[in-house]
Amino acid sequence: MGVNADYLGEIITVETEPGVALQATVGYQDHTPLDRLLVVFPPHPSLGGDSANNVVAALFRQAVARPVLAMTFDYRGVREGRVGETSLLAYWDRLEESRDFRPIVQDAVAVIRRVRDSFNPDAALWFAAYSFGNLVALQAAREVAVRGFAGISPPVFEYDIAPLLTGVPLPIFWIAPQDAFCPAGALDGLGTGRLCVREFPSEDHFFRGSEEALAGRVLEGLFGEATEERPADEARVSANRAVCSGPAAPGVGGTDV
Amino acid sequence: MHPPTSDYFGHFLAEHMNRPLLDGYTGLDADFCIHFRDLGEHWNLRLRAGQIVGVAPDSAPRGAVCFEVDQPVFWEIVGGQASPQAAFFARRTEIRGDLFLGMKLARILGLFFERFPCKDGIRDGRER
Repeated sequence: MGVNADYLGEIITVETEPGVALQATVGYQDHTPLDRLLVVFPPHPSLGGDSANNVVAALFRQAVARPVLAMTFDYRGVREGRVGETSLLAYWDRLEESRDFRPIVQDAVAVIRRVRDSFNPDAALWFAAYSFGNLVALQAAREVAVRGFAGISPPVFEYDIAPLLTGVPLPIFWIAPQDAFCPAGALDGLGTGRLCVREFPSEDHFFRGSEEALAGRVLEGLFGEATEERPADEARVSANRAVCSGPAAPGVGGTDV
Repeated sequence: MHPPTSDYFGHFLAEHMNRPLLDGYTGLDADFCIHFRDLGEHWNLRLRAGQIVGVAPDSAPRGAVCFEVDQPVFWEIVGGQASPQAAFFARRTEIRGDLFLGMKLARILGLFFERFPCKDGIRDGRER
């Protein structure tokens, strides 16, 4: 991901295992508080997903503008096109066949910890994930404490995310009703814990042309209005089971499932 | 003025048929189509084990996925000046049918176009 001129950014390289190095892009402004860190998880590399994805880039940019310390990264092999001697696509095909994404989750956790330690080891973590990134983020949330979670269009027909939902306090999911990967109703009754589902008007999974509006709503749902620090959303929602955390947007439905 | 699309499919791409589009990748079988919206042309392609094994013009699309594109954008993409993903996200192309397969094909083809760009329709299959 490129770093814009209107904010500070840096690249942090983390070797997660011998021969595997990931690069995190971290963005902030001069006055950005360091008490929280938003991690943005990209979609699937086999489908062209990377940290430059339109939804990921919009989330990252807008988080930095709020200002929230934000980071994103690419999964292993994305920058190089290979993992060791194996082509990126062949490597990820093997992961898909095994359905064992532990190396990817461990990479993510290592990168997140390194970035957080570089800025403030006590910073609270907030996750925002798009598509396949939900799977990685929900698994990573079992290894690091997460204060808030926003998931956009989790591909629930491809992956079983239900068992992972207990790892985050009150996940907020944003879906496009016509999304073939996660249509309206797909999250109803998922898992045993509570989750909040919001619909965002978009014609499909990709939010082309509406990514900036989506990112604004997602961040508003996580953090409230710009620069406003909110109390723990989960406590507030526990007191009122009918209300999803954060303000509802015009034209955006909210369902407490 | 762009060269006819048959220059690409019949000559440039033909030189890359029956061998892996990407070194070391043999993991995908798919039948797909490229529909030139501005020309009303369809080219149907057959991918087996990561190799293009068939390509032919047709009056109708065939396969699980169809990429819709106008000729100028097509030449940008196959010339390596724009990635298929970037064109899709900018709404310069559309994917009809199986979106999951379409995005995966776009990724594979994008890497191929990057490595083997076709400039100005010239019949040159040399690696960049």
